[in-house]
Amino acid sequence: MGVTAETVKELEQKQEWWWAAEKKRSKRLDYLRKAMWKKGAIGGLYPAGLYIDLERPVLQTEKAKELESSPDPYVIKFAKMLAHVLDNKTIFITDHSQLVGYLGSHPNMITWDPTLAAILNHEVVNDPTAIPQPVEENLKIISEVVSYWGGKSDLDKILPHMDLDDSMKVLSGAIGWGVPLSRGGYSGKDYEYIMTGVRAFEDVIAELDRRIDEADARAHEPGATREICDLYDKMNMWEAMKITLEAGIRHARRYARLARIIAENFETDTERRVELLQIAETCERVPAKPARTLQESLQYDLFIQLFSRNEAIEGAWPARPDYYHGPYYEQEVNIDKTLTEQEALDLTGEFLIRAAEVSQYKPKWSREGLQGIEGTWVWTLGGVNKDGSDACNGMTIALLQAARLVRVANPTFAFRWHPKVKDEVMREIFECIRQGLGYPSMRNDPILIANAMNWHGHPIEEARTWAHQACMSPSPCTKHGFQPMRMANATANCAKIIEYVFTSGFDNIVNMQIGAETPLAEAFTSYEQFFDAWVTQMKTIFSILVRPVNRARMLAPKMTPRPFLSAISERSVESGLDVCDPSISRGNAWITAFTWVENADSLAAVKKLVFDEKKYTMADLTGALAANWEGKEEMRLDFVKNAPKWGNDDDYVDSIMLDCLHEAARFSRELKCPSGNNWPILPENVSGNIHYANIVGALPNGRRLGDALYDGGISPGPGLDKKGPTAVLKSCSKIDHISDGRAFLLNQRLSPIQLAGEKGYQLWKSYMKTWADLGLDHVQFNCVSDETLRSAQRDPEKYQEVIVRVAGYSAHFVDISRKTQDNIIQRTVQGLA
Amino acid sequence: MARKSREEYAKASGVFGLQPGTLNSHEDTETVPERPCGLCKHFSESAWSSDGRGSCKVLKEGSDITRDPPVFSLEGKNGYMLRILTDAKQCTYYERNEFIDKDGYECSDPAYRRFIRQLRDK
Repeated sequence: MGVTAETVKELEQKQEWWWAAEKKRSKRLDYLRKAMWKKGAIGGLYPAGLYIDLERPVLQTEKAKELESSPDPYVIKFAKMLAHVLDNKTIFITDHSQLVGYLGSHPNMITWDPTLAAILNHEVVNDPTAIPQPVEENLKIISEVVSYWGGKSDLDKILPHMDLDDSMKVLSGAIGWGVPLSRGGYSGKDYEYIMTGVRAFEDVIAELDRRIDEADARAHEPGATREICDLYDKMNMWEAMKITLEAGIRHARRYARLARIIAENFETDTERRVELLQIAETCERVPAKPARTLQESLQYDLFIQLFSRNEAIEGAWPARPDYYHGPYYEQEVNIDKTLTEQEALDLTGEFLIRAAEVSQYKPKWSREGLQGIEGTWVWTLGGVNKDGSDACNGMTIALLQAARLVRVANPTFAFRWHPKVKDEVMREIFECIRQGLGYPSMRNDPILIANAMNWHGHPIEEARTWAHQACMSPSPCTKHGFQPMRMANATANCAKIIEYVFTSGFDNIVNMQIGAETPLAEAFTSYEQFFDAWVTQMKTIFSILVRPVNRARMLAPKMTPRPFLSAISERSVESGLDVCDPSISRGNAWITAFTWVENADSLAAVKKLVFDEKKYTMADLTGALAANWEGKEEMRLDFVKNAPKWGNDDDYVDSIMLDCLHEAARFSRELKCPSGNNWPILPENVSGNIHYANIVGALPNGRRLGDALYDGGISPGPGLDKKGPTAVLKSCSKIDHISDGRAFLLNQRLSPIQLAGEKGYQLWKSYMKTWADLGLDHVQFNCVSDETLRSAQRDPEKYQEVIVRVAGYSAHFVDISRKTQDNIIQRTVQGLA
Repeated sequence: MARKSREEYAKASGVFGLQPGTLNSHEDTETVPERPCGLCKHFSESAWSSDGRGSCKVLKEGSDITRDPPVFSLEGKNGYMLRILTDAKQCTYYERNEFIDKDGYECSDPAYRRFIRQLRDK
């Protein structure tokens, strides 16, 4: 590797893990990692060097125009448009790579799908940084595309069928984000159907042909029934699915052809020629036929993910890579010995890099709320098999090791901890945390399996297959259990609940009556009246966000179908119904509860200082909040310092937190998804605490408009947890992590010095035992010193590779806004006893 | 409260204005008036997207600054929906604002921290 072991050791002793990784990884991984373009937006804009790709929107628009007069049903037109993109988009093979496929035409291009929303298209027009050169010429192309899709995009078609009042409130951006679209959110996959090696695209096509023939025969038998009428739609859907699968096979074979052309005509290096021919063989094999090797399995998975993202904007990447790729690893590395551990590590590291570079142009709320990353690619590791046995395997360890070598911020991992996890795996996890990756986050598998059964009725064998649907929420990977689309607009900016209690539901930031018109806050004479108003606002906000999702799920099968995702889903191949059709889904909905803890701290402050101690009147407080605490600094500090804060094992405020959660949980069972299942809440943040900082007004916890909100989930406010890590865990353990909500995010900062050496591991392990014994479902760690982070702020060029845990995801520290950086530094560093 | 008509919703949200023929030509999106609403201190940009929608913090729903003579409604609750490039030459409440975050890399502040390409040199 050209560098002495001592040098690596020195770097590790200085905890400069990123430089050590650069020297430890293979030449191939080093090249590929450095050839990768990071795609996350910083603050609200993309960094220099990234551009919006116009190839895809032009291809989509030309095909859509061509099909305008076609007699095809919409779902078939849509499938043909997707096939047109896959057949004609530019493809390339990165030097030294063994895996191929990218959404855009060049590695620094961000793909833009103009078919989703005219609003998004206008964001492209207004974008100040990412329009490619020559700007004037390309603006004209953009204008033509925007003009064509105005009124024809998914959101334009869907919105007129929604409740317009709800739509207006959602699109104000004040109480939530996301869109109620089946092609814009988080798509789970039916991995049990398509990733187990039993079948691949050609097998599904054969199944579709059989079903179409059977349906056609049945439709022409003597008789006329509703069932026969339905068959026409099903045959169209099956045909559309087949079009997308065939396009996927052709697309892969374009790569095979390209690899062969380069190998046979241009490549002079013998070893590389062999690799290119291997790529060709791989892409001729998958996705048409089931994988036989680890390389084929990873390539197959990558193709599936890319095809799905050609069909939709996917803001998450639900996956369980060790579980589904593990058998190939075991066979090749441990049984057949046809692949060395190092070769497997190279493939695994490259798989992470290929995922990290995936990019799609997203709206402002997403660019700001997911700073530094492209989406929440939270991959699930560990856990149990369907029979309850430990599912960890060689691939689990390979993924954890590869992550430390390539140090991408996205994907990250979340590990399903359970009592049978072996020490060698725990040590690998600890190394990732100690080396400052911020991942894996730790998930309590027995608790979350019970939770999945409690809230959504998933049978235990299915619940045990769960993967993260986004940052936090488990979803099975099974026929009826998997979630084809979690529409992100059921994401509540919960600090608005308490804010609206003081404004009778009027939002002063966006000038709109959004919440319920509860009585004037000055009129409340008891805490109970005040809390009742809080409950009313909570129910109102949750309902405004959930109703559009429910409606969109019902409209989706006809108006915004997903033929490709349907084609890789057993329930759709079997039924001929779109994958989002609620009738074939068990339901796995949840409301993401951003900025949740502000409510408990604010309610506690009001209870103590207004109603218990009567130090202030409600009129005093309402006036102070309306004035953003201006001229009331002494009073504000009273609300900051002398009101109890969540996370200190203080029953006064902890019991209020439980009251809030119990009210939300009760209401979650009244809210129903179109499949008839519940809508539990899931407190967490991504970087929504920064995005919403200027959108949430002053609050009774002492926060002013513009101050960063808490970092989310059930994490205490930064710097407000003053009684140590055990007190934090004890507060959090008062919550029933099975029945009070779907999951609860907890951020903790640990000292890198304290985690050094074997002693550090034992301390962390002991902390994890307490965490598990107390029944928490989640915890994640930042383990980078203030000194390093402040140095990175002063001299970002030198600290390009420092990674931090932001919330449900990690990001390179230099890729997040200054305000977010400060917020992370502000978090309490917990000393472990 | 009586249900609003579709036209009223369209005005109140600004979202449904993105229909063919309303704001889709190259000229529409590139013509920056002398006094664009996006440079007024009373303009509050949409918190959801940077598509150019926003509301006025002074004028209320029912106003129309594009008519001659303009209509100024100061009563009511909901703000008047506008676009960043709306021509405010007739608006008597116009007050020019300076950008705070000129490079646009911080997070959105609906009131003060907006940055779009067309206003880059303004």
